[in-house]
Amino acid sequence: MKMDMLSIGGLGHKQTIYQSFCASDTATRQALTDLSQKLQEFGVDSDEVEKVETILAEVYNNIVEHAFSGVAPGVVRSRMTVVDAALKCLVADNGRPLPESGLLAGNLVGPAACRKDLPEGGFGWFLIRHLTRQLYHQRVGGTNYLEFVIPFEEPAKCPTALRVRTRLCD
Amino acid sequence: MELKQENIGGTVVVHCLGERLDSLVAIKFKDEFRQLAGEDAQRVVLNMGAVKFMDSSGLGAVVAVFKLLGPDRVFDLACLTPAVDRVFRLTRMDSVFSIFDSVDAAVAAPPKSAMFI
Repeated sequence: MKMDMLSIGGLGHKQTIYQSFCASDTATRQALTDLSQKLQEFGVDSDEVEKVETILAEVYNNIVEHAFSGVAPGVVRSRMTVVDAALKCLVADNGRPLPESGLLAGNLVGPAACRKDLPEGGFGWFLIRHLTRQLYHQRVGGTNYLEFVIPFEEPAKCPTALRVRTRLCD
Repeated sequence: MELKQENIGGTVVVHCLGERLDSLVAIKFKDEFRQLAGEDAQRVVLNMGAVKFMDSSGLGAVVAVFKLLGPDRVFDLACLTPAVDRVFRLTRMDSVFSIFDSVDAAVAAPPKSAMFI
C-alpha cells in the first residue's frame, strides 16, 4: 500500500482540520468557509482566520486552475494543525506536477507602472510566499504535496519589490 | 457577485452586493461592471463595503476593470473591509488606486488617479 504523507502526523491532535474536496471553484469556496468556521471554533483570532483563508484560497485556487487544468478534476486534500501560535499545513493533490517555475515569487507592481501594464494575475504566489514560512513542495508517487507554516502574527511589509523577487527560498 | 449602479452628481458608483469577490465570480464581476460603468462618466467609484473576502482572482478582476475603463477615466475604491484592505496592501496595489473611507468622500474628492496612472 502506498504511503500517504497526509496520514503521517497530526493524528490524535485536538486542533487538526482535515479537508477533502473536488477540485472546483464551488467546492473550494465551501472548503474555505468550513475552514474559517473551524478555526473560529478553535479560538483563533479573527484577523488570523482571515489571513489563513487568504493563503489557503490561493493554494486551493492554484490547484484547481493549474494542477487540474485540461484534465478531469481530481481531489484536493489537506491537513492543518494549530501548533505553537502557527498553523502547520500540508496540501495534497493528484493533478499535474508543479512546473519548474513553481513556487513563483509572484507579481508586484513597480512605482512607475502604467495603467495598461498593470498585472492582472500572479498575485497568488506572492501572497502565499509573503504570508507563509517553510514553504516546501515535493511530488511523491503522482501526488503534489505543498507544505508550509502560517505564523499567527502580521509579517512586516516587504521593504522592496526586489527583495521579494530575488528571495525564492526562506 | 451582484452589482448595483448609482449616479451621484455625474459620478458612477458601482456597489458590490456580494460578500465574496473570488475566482468563482471574478469573470462575471468584470462583465457586469463593464456594463454598469457605461462609457460616459469620467469618474467611477467601486464601493466594496459589502465584500468580506477577496482572493487574487478578485484583485485581478478589479485591476482588469480599471484597465478596461481606458487611460482617461478616473477609477477609485471606497469602503474596503479589513481582509480586502490587507490584500491590496500586501500586493502594493494600494499604491495604484485612490482608496476612500466612504462613497461620499470618494465622490467629493478631487480626482487625481488619472494624472498618475
